[in-house]
Amino acid sequence: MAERLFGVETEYALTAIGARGQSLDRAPIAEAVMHLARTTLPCLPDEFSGGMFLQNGARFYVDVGLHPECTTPEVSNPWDAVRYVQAGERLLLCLATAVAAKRRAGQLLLMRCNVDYGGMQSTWGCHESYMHRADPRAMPKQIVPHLVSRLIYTGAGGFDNRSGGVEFMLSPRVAHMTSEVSGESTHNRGIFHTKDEPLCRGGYHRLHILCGESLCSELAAWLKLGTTALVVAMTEAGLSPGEEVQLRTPVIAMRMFAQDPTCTAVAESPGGKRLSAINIQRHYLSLAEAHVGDAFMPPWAGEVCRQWRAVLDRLQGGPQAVATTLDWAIKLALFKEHVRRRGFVWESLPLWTEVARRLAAAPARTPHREQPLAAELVLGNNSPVAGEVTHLAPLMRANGLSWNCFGPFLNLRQELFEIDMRFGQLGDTGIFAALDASGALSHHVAGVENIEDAIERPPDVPRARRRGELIRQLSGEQERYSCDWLGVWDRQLGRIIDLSDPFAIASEWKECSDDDLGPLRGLPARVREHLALLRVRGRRVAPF
Amino acid sequence: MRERERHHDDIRGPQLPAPAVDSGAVREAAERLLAQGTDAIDRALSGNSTAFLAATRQEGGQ
Repeated sequence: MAERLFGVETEYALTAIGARGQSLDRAPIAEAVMHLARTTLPCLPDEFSGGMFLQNGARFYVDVGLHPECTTPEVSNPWDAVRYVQAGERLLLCLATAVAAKRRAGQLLLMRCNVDYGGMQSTWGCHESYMHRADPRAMPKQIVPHLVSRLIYTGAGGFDNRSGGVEFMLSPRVAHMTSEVSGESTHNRGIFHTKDEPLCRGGYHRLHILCGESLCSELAAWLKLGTTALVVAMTEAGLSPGEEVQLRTPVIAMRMFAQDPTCTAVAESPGGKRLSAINIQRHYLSLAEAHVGDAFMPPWAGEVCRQWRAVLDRLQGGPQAVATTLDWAIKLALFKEHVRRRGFVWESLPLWTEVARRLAAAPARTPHREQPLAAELVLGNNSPVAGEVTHLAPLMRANGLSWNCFGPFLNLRQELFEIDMRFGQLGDTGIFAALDASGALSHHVAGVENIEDAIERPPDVPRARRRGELIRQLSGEQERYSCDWLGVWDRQLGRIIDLSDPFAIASEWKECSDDDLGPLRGLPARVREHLALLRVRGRRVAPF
Repeated sequence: MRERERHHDDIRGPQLPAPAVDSGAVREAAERLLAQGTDAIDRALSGNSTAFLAATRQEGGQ
């Protein structure tokens, strides 16, 4: 059976709140966390990212937007994928807690949330990488329908952060996917990301997926990796798994699926077929089940198919059937209850959202457009939108809404956003963590365990294992040695231990130069880039 | 890490009917979730969500 390799990069929201509730500058906090990691953990610096590689083979650095990012080592099964994500979170939380204590920084919060609700309307990611040998040009067609529809179990749940109202989405990051295919990652994001940087030799490609989200539920995270790895395997084997479930407008379909907790919304295929997200997923599943024993499938394919089928069966029972298992469904239940406690009816939120939208868009607000919508501004004697308030009166009356509730609606909106952020907060005070500790959830996957071991030891993948060993061995000499995905570098003597073959265990130091790479001939261009980088930084390397 | 046992599973046939749902169990689980969730939310909320969201404002990443 085939070995599949994949990994996860998770960006976290980092916040420091002072004693008076004020926001503290995050840059020095992020640097303090990195410094503590660098000086207390067995690690080697990563010249390219400015971060470091750890003894478990993982990478840790601060990505654009001051988001601490943990990248798992290469793993070969979805259990290890989830374990190493959890290992990264425990490590990050530990570092942040130590920094907070040392700096007396008030609250230092790390959150899995992937969208901002503070007015930036921004998003950040949880990316997946899958190694494969398929033709990259063939991949989008085969995998896009899967990526569009898998959100029914991989969605983190939350709200459209570009909306002036309250619009629940199974996957809030979907609101930021603006094209089907794109090479961009910080704007104009695509469902399919064309980046293909293999970070290894041997003719492999790396499928890089950035439309996913950080998840709290083990089962959701496990399925996200397991099912997608099987879709990649089937594509590589030439089965064309997405052929019969093409979508006419994938971006629109994805948004429609993300807005429908019943999972019954349908999107059209180019041929006019009407497909629900569950239909599409069942198609991929059936194909996987039909080939589960084939040589190209990984050994765990059968177990993924079993869990995949089980979750799709449950989803047909509606959101309540998965309300203790999947992130979005847990949140939906909590949000609905919170709305009820605040005296609102969940079904009234679309109307309130329409009211907010029209007020925000009212021309008279133009000078005030940068100000958040506030009840006092809207309903006050000198309201800049008095005309629109009058214009909205029939809608309000027809639906039993009262202007007295507009202010409470805006407050409720803010509370729901805070609840969403607090849900994925790392540590015991996060809402998900508290629910998990109380026994109210059922999301664990048997075999996702021994996280302490995953913090210290790499997975059973040759080059990850070798990377970890070298880091443990050489971490005391960070001035001399550095690490990246391709190898461990001796800057002093201009040598590399070549880790570019993921399935080989390299043990010998090799000389490296630009003119004659010797044993390194044929390595990706990144080797040359690294050599150039070392030369620019004045490290001694063999002459070019 | 322990070597994971490898299985060769039977190929499944056509789509099976959805399993019957124990609605009583689902309802109990939902009630437990809401009870615990209410507590967890009340403990977590800052009391000034607008200020919290402003303080936790995030720039975009990838």
